[in-house]
Amino acid sequence: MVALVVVLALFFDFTNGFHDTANAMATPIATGALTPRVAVSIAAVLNLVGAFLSTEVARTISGGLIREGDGGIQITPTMIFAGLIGAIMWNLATWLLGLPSSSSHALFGGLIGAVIVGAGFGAIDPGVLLSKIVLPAVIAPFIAAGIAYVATKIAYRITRGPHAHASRRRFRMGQVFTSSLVSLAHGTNDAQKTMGVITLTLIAAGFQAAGTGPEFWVISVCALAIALGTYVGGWRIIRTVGTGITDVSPAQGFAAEASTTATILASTHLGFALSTTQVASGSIIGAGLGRNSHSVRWRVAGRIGVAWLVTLPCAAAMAAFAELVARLGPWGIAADALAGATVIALMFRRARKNPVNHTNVTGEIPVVRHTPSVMMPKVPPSLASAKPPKAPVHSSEFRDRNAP
Amino acid sequence: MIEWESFLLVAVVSLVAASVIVTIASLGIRLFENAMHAREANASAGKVGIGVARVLFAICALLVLFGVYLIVPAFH
Repeated sequence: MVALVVVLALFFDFTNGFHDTANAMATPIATGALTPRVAVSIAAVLNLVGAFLSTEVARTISGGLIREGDGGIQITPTMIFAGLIGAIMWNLATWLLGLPSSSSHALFGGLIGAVIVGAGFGAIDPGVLLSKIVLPAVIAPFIAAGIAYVATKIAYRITRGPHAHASRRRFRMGQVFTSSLVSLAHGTNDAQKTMGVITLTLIAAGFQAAGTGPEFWVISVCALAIALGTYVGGWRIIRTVGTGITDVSPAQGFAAEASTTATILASTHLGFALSTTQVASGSIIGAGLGRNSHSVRWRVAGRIGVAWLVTLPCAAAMAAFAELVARLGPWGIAADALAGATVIALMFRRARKNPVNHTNVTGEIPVVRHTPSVMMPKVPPSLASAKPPKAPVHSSEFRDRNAP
Repeated sequence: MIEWESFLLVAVVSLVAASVIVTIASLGIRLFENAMHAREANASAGKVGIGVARVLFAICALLVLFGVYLIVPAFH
């Protein structure tokens, strides 16, 4: 059971990595600041380094969301197992749809679902759920969008003039640094969650003394799993974030990444945790609005918003079901594992029918990389980019997914 | 419930930080680009612009290092 949980936790860590590559690397890939391969390599290395850098591992799996420990309920390895199944399923489903959703919300949702079935509703603290998950999720994209809007306006205002076109391309250099910072911050945060899950499982199973930190092998395998996931790259999500929401120019990309970095660093250091995924996506919407309000594809943005709202309940529902089955005993757990493996295999097969990888991640229209105002500097940017070319790739992909 | 004070603090600090770094980088880029164009016309022109741009880029580099400092817990 413990081995199964460890394997599942590492697989979750892997999906976490490839789900979140887009947060840092979608815009530099979209603007051509970094080639796709180089971008995911940088992100992978920084995630690996980041995982080793941070010593602060979550003391509780859920950060107070679930009343665990003394006086509360005991989270069993079976619950963690079921929770991880729910979280992984949801992460893979959103990846298949190319939607950036929060991996932390998937993990919390999965655990909540499993705990509700395992220990009843009383085990969940609704106040913490509201103040730590629901409200920040609603606020994060707006605050990030507002900041990126201002930052984009500033970047465009300062660089306008006879050499605007050449100047704005130079922001690509800056994008390399801002996106690297986002990657590093991601590594120090997200690998810790899996380390926490594995360590608490080991403690619960009696393999490790209570109150001790993660063993070195746990840190190493978690770092490797998240780096590998990052390197494999969730190309579908990168495509949505980088070119689906709006056509990002280097100046917008830089402004968006700078806003993301500033918001994430401020939120982690001033005690108001915000989801990286939501901040990054919100920044890109803000950057789109900052250049031209017509350039944001609200349908795509709306789909992403819906995905955020349903992430926690969906992961919870799947985990609850997995927990129900797991309570039947060893055969239930085996059935869970088998069903999970089958669904994962099916999703990967489905993904291969319509592959998105480093070769086609920026879409099939090269014009996305060079905005009209860049190519025709004499036309005022406001006119030139009023109607950005629709990218047939994205819309058709979304339609395909809707069809069945 | 939600801590509005810390939320406001995060919003303001993020806005100021993002605006400052984007302003400095944009100014540097604009000065650099203009100086490069001036130099095309006259080889001795644009030296001041490039110098100031370099200083601005250096400030950006320091801000990036400060970001790394904030991210790595071992530093503080």
